[in-house]
Amino acid sequence: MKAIEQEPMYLPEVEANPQPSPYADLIHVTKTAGREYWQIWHLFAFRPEVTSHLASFTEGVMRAPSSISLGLRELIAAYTSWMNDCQFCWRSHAAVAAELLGSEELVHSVLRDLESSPLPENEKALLRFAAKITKQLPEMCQQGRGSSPFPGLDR
Amino acid sequence: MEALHSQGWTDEAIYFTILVVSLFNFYNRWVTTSGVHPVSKEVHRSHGKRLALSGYEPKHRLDGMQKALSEY
Repeated sequence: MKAIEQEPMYLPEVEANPQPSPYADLIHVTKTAGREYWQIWHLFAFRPEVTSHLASFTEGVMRAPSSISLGLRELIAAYTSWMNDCQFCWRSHAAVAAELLGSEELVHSVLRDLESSPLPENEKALLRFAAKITKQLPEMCQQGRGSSPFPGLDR
Repeated sequence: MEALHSQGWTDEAIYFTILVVSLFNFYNRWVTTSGVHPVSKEVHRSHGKRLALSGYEPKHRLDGMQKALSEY
């Protein structure tokens, strides 16, 4: 089967050297089948001894039992990635969120304009908080400065 | 935080929200800076469907992918 041409990553050495790992296998089986694969797998496959911990951590953050549903966590991930203009990430997690929440339209409406989307008000509040952490961290730090344990180090 | 507590969210819920947002701020930087490109809409959709089922453990993802390819 014809190999799919994908735009090269910025780190050719990383892309050319997947180490034995489930990620290298994922790249191999997907490429062999002539289908597009996720280049993020190369980031994991280059140093599996380091990234295996990140994979487990991600599994915990995104899938461990919590009062925040799996779908809402994926929506928060997609929304954060949208704000950072990370196309690969928001497209990936918008797709997972759409699957888990059962509506691609809802996910896209949140990304387009949170306030006018039909998301419940309490969930909008969580996404506004996500926006604040992502875009206004310095302001948040300044607000908390009143109780700094290191007054001498304050800017 | 008060805005979230008044909406009925517990500290546990806020804890997970902060984890997800922080983790994805990391991933967004890692992915963008290393040159990970988006794929076609269809492939994002099909990977998304599988990821929703398999979760993030790479062995489960590999199993899911092999199953999908065998059915393809």
